[in-house]
This record gives sequence, structure tokens and C-alpha cells, in this order.
Amino acid sequence: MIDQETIGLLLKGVNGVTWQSLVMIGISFVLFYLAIAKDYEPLLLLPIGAGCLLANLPLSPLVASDGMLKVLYDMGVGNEMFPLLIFIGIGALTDFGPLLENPKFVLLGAAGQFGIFLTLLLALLLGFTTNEAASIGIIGAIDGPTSIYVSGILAPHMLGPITVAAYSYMSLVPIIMPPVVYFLTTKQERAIRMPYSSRKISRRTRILFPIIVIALVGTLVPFATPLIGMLMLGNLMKESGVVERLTKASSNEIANAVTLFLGLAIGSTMVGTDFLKPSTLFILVLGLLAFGLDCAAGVLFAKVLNWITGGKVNPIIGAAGISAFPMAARVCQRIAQEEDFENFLLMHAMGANAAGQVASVVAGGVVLALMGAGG
Amino acid sequence: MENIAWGLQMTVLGMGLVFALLALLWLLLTLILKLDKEPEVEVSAQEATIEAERIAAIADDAVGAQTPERPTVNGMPADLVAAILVATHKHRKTMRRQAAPLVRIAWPGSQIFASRWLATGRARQNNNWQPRGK
Amino acid sequence: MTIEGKTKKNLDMLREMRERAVLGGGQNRIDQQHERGKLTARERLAQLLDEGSFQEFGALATHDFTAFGLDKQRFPGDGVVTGFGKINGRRVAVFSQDFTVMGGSFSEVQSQKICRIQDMALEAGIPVIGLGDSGGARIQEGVRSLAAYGEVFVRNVLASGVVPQISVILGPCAGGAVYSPALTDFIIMAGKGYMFLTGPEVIKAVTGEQVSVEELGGAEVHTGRSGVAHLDAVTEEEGLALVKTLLSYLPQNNSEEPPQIVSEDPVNRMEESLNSLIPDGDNTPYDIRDAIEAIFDHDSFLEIQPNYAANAVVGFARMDGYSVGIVANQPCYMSGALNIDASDKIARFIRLCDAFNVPIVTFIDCPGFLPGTGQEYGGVIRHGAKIIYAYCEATVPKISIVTRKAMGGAYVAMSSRQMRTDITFAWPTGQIAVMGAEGAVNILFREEIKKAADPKAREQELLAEYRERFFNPYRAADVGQIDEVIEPRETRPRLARAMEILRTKVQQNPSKKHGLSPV
Repeated sequence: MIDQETIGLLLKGVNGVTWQSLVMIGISFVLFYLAIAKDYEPLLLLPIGAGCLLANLPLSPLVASDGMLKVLYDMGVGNEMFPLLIFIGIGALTDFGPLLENPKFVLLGAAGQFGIFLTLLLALLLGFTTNEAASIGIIGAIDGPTSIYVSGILAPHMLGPITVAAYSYMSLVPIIMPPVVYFLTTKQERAIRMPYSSRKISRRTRILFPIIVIALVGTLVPFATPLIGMLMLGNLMKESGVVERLTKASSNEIANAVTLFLGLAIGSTMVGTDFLKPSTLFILVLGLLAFGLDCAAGVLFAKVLNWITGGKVNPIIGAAGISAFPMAARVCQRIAQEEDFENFLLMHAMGANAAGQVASVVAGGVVLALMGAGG
Repeated sequence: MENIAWGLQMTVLGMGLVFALLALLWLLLTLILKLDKEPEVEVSAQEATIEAERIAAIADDAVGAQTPERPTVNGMPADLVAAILVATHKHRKTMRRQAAPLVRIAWPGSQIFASRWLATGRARQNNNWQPRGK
Repeated sequence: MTIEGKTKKNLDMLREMRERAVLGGGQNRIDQQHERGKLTARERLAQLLDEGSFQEFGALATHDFTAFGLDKQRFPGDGVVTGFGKINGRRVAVFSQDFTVMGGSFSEVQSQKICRIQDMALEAGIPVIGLGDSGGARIQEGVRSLAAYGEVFVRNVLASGVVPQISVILGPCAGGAVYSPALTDFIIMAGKGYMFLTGPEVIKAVTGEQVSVEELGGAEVHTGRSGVAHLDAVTEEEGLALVKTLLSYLPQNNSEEPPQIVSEDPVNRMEESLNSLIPDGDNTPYDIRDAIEAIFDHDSFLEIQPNYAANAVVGFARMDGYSVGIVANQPCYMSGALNIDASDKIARFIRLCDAFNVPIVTFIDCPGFLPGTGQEYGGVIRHGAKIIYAYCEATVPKISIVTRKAMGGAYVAMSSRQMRTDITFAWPTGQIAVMGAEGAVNILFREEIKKAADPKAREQELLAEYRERFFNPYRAADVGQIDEVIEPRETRPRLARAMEILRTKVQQNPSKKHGLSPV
């Protein structure tokens, strides 16, 4: 017979709807829109959107103590495994050749991390705690896995918005970067043509590079060891050429599966009551600012290099000193060609870009070290 | 205020460390390259760019670095390819309309067929000629 | 090796003179020409001819008049650029009047230059193309200028029917300047081209009519009302492109064949849409151009004089890559009836095709000649006779296809079997009869209808009977007026095969000075 209790059970779902969950479901729709219609990082934003939607359905069993999303979170995000696995894949796909040909670009990558700290200062001014501020600053590196890794340790409660911000801005590189560059450079500077010289990078150097970086960074900044270790492991596998199957697996199958898990797990952290706070908005705005400042710092540093070398460095490539590889380099090339169609600086921009990849990891480790957190 | 002071300290220390670390890396890399003793060769910007495009194409597969590129066909922007296609098609059509040499059975001035103008003209000129003694 | 001394001086002088010749009437005038939205004579030639193929003759010729200050206006070339070049690899003779030199006014020297290339073209058997942009005779040269026109006219006429002559009107052409184009085979008007014998001012002075240049002699007037021009284009570039297209259907001269292109349209293509083209209603219009587009090689149809006498359609197309001339009645305009203008248009086109060895395909759907006093007073008999004359005189392959109505005298005139038409086809929708049902029944059965109990009903009965018996192509096929009744969809393959048979047709007319066409 239908009694009060049965009806209550039947209506449990409808009764469980809160305004926060409704808003979050709306946000998941926005993420779906960005991923599907706008093609912004669909590989990540779609699973994140799905995780967000699934987690915010009333009484969602998926985020209960043994629900799948919770299990995924505990399995790979809580202990930082997923971002590290993805890093192996990125390392396996990144060719550091352009950087090795021009080692001085390493410094451009370093300059590109300046925005991290400026944003950190701003976040502190806005009243975030030191841990939170550091996590927000890291968005400026435009490096998804690093952001997840750092904020997972320092401020796990802000993982959702930070990840969404990091990945969204990564796909917004072509939109955000050009105005910054145009604002900071003159027409003449953008038209500078950089000479090219190529040297054959021996296999030995290519193999030595990841090993040396692991040893050097690992010794000096132990907190960066997991990140740099995995990144360089991937690169070592690629350059050694002896474990092609592992290289392929880590850059395809493993990366794909982990991306799905990571997206779902991150999405599941975006639960209404935690997410819908003014701080989320600040995170998004500050993340954008961090990104802009990173580009600006890179460009300004490149200008300094240009001055030192006597006009041989096009300041545009400074903007490529962030992590989004190779998109940032491509965008730099496009800006240069707007000015002078026959100006090709993609290779140089790629060098700066690869440096940014390494530098953002180093910066992440440095931040962790200075905070005295992590392992 | 305490936080700010701490933050400033972080900035100086952090950036210093990052720069120092990477400068060290630079030094090491330069050293390795010295040991490599590979000669530097001047290359054209185009060559370098083609190489860079190859590297970029591989990295494009990485999760979280997908450029929202315009659609391409064999590496050329799709709208450019479409424009080229339309232009060639139009050109082809014009060539056919104007019976350009390429679409003709015989090239203009071709010697495959004797010029009838010449043949009839010569025949007319020679009409009254009789070989001597006939 | 450096060239020194006298030779160097001579060379320098030549170079300087050449540079001056290229400038025509001077940079100022060239700029003015551009401001008017017109190209200069040389720019037009560059557009028209294959790159680097132009070789000029008479670039340095000047007049030696001194009256009226002419001695101060002496320009190398004297207002016309003449020479030879190639269009898509085919040799052509060209002259291009230069408006920047004294308004392109026609002078004795101009005439000599043009006559020279006309003579050479006629001897070599290559087409002549004239780009007109001339205000008329050079008044300062007086009667010599008029004599100069005559020299050109006689060569136009001698070359007529031997080599194709095409005129492009790209600027004002007034007075005598319009008659040379009028004697040529085609007139194309493009850009700011106008043609008239007497200008608006003279008209106003003589008759008091107020008319603008555009209304008097613009492209719209001459391709629509007067039928003087054959084709028009908005820009000069398009006009010059039309020359190339037009030339592709024509041979180099009257003893050669038009160029054949490699066909990409299979000759055996069955066009199913044709089977449903003819509507059920006897008087329901349809567009014959749909049939033409479907039957001939894809995208090959070039209609000539599309806006003049639209009740007849004439034009060129290709069949299996061979050039074909098409004459057709247009049922969707005046039911396709023939009138004075249509007769002129058709007759001229037939003669043109005949002169240049282009086979003629005729599509017939004609209820007869247009009745009325306007037509009769205007001499429709004389004009209609031109069609008959032209068809009978033509010795090129002639094929006709009756698509629907073929009534009475108009059917006879439109390429009927007995008028030396080689092959006649009819679609099953054909209605070949001596006259329309109403008229025929009234004449044949007048008495019977009068005597009948119910004359109206009897008349209807007889009408239906007449239609049933005679409104089909089979009576005509019985007597051999129609060679074959074919399904509309088979038209393309049947036409192609017929044309293949006739390709080497040679037919002769009795030798005579010339016939007396009822002009």
C-alpha cells in the first residue's frame, strides 16, 4: 500500500533539490557548451562538466562514501597521482629540441613565472590565506597538471575552480595573449626578424637532458621532484626510443583514461555549497590576471634580452614562456605574421615555450618548497 | 600586513630561486652542448618553421594543449583550400568557355591538320599552272 | 660591350619615342581616362590578348596636318594602337582606339593603320577585333577624314564572311565611327560604351526631342530595342572576356573549322527532364533555353542578342566539343510567334553560321507569324522572307527539331525538310499542321456546321476530331517531312550522331555574284 513513507521515499530526489545544486547543474551546462560548441579543451571540460552534473544531482550516490566519483577522487586526485600520470604523457609528446638549440631561452621561461607571484600578492590583499593565494598564483603558469598538483596539496577545497580556470585559460591563450603583446610592444619590435641557426642535437644530449634536469631540480627543489620527475621520465622514454610502446601508451591510452578520471573527479569536487562562494569568482578573475601578468613579464624580459643582444630578440616570443605547449608558440607566430607575413619565429617561440613548460614545474616546486608543504 | 610582507618575501625568494635554478640549467645545457661539438649551421626561417611545425604537430596531441585551430586540409587552412578550389574551378570553366589551347583537340596552329585556308588558297593560286611541255 | 656614338644616339632616340608612344595623349589624359572608369587603349589590349603576344605596327606614325593648330597636337600612333596578337593561342588582328589622343577622333593616319592590319588579316585569314572609343571624325582634317572612313568600310565589307570581325564599343562612338562596327559580325558594348549617329544636341536642335546619351545610345537600347549590338557587359573586362568566349565558337576564317574542345559531357547522356518539359496545355509556356541547356554540352550555351526580339532565341553552344549554332522559337515570349525583329535576328544569325561553317540546329515551337497591321505595314512579308532565304541559302549541316507547334507558313520558314534541311526530328508532342484547328475546321466544315442541328456542339466535335487526327507529328512523318519522331530524352544522342554524319557535308550553290536577299 502506498503510505506516507513510500511517497516520501519516492519524492526524496525532488525534495533533495537545492538552489545551489540547480546553479551547479547550470554551470555544468556552461562547461558542456564551452566544450562541445566552442571546442575549448573538450577533453577536459566535458568530463569536468559531467562530473559536476553527476555530483550535484540530488543525493547523488556517485559522491557518497563509496560512490564512483569519490573513489576516483581518492584514487588519483587526493594523492596527486592523476596529474603526475598526465605529466608522463606530456613529457612523451614534448620535443625539447628547440630549447636545446637555444639554451638561453630557458630564462624566458623563468620570466614567464613572474605573474604567479604577483597574483599571489594580490590574492593575499584580497584576504585569501597564504596557501590559497599560492594556489591561485599557480594558475598563471597555465599548466593544468601543475595547478592541480599544487592546489591539491595547498588548498584542496579550491581544486574545482582552479582546475576549471587553468584549463579554460589554457584554451583562451589565442584570445588573451595577443592584446597583452600588442600593448607592450611597438610595431618595429614585433617586426624584428630573428636569425636562425641550427645545430644537430645529438641523441646523447637529448637523453642526458631529462636525466640532468631530474637530478638537478630534484636535488635542489625536492618538492618539484614528482612533477619534473614524471615530465622528464616521459621525455626520457621518448628520446631514448627504446620503449616506444610505453611512450605511446603513456601519451595515448594512459593519458586518455587518466584525463577522463581526472575530469570526473575534479568535476565532482564542484559541489554547490563549496563552489558557490565569492571566492570562486575571485579565483577566476585572479587566474586571468595571473595569466596576463605572466605574458607581460615574459614580453618585458624578452625586451630586456633584446636590448642586451642589440636587437636580435623579438619580444613577442617572451609571451611564449608559459606552459601551454605548443599553442602559446603558435599564437606568437601568428602575431608576428600579422605584422610581417614573412617573419617566421615559430622555432624560437617553441624554445621559449618548452622552457616555460620546465619553468612552470620548477615554479610549482619552488612555491611548494617555500610553503613548506607537500612531501 | 604580515601576509603582504610574507608575500613580498615569497616573490623575491621564489623568483630568485626560479631564475637561479633555470640559469643553472642553462649553464649545464650550454656545457653539454659544448661537449657535443656539433657545428652550428645557418638555416632559413622557413626551414626552421617547417621543423617547428613538425614538433608542434606531435605535441598537439597532448591533453590540455589543444589549439582551437581552424580546420585544415593537408596542412593548409580549409578556407584557403576552398578558395583555391573555387578559383581553379572557375578558371577551368573559363578555359572551357573560351576554348583555351589546353582544352582543345588540337593546339592552335597545330600541324596535325593542314590549314584549309592555306590549302584552298594555294590550290586557287596554282589553278592555271600547267607543267611545261604538256 | 657598350654602344657609343651615333648608334647610341639613334637607339636612345628610338627608345624615347617609343616611351612617348606608350603614353598616348600624355599622363594627364590617361589619368582622366581612369577617372572616367575607363581603361586606356593599351590596357585593354593587355586584357584581351595573351600575355606578351602583342606586336604593334605603326606605333610612331603621326599626321602632317598644320591647320587649326594640329601641328601642335602631334602624338606618335595618332590615336589608335594597331597590331597582331594572340587570344588563347589563336592569331588575331586588333586595333584599339585611344581616347586620350584628341578624343580618339578618326584621322587619315588612323585609317591607314587600321586598313593595313585589315589587309594583312584578310590575306592571312585571321579574325579582326576592333576596340572602339572614338568621338567621330577629326573635324580639323576635313573631308580627308571622311575619305578615311570609306577606306575602312570597304575592307570591312570585303572581309565580311571571310574572317570573323568583332567590334567592342568601350566609349562614345558617334557619326561615322558607328558604321564600321555596324558592318562587322558582332558588336559588344561594355563599360561606358555609347553608339549613335547624331548626338543628343543635334537631335534637340533638329526635332526638339530631349534625350540623354544613355537613353539614346546606351547598351540597353542597342541590345534591347534596336538590335544593333549583340552582347553587352557591365565592365570593360567582362566585355573583353566576352570577345574571347565568342571567338571560341568561330573559326579563323571561312575555310576552316571552329576550334573543337575535348568534351566532358558524354554524348549518350539521356536527359530525363526533357520528357516532362513540354506542359500539357497547348498554350502553356515553357522556356526553350531549358531544353537547349539540357541537350548541348554542359554550360556551353552562349545566347546572342538575348534581350532583342526575345520570341526567338539564337546562340552558340557545343555538342561533343564541336561548335553549333542554335535557332529556336521561345514559347514563353509572345508564344514564340515570329515578327519582324525576330525574323531579322534569326536570318542574320543563320547567315553568320553559314559563313563560318557552324552547323545549325533549329528548335521549332511556333504558332505562326504575328498578325496585325503593325507587322504587315512594317513589311513582315519581306522580313519573314529573309529567314526562308537564309535557310535555303545555307550550305552548312542543318538539323531541325519540332518540339510542339509547327503551323503553316511559319513551319515552312523555320527550317522545314524541303528547304534543304538535312535531318528533321520531332518530339511526340509535336503538332505539325497546315493551320490551327479553329481556322481549319471553319474552312473545311463550314457547310456541315451550318446544317447541323446544334452548330456549336458540332463545331466542338469537329475541332476535337481535327486535333486528334492532325495535332501530332505522324502525318508529317508519313510523308517524310519528319525523318524521325524521337523521345525528348534521346535528343542529345540523336543530335550528336546526326551531326557526326553531317560533319563532312559539302553542298554548293550555283555560282553567282551574290544572291538578292530581301534585305
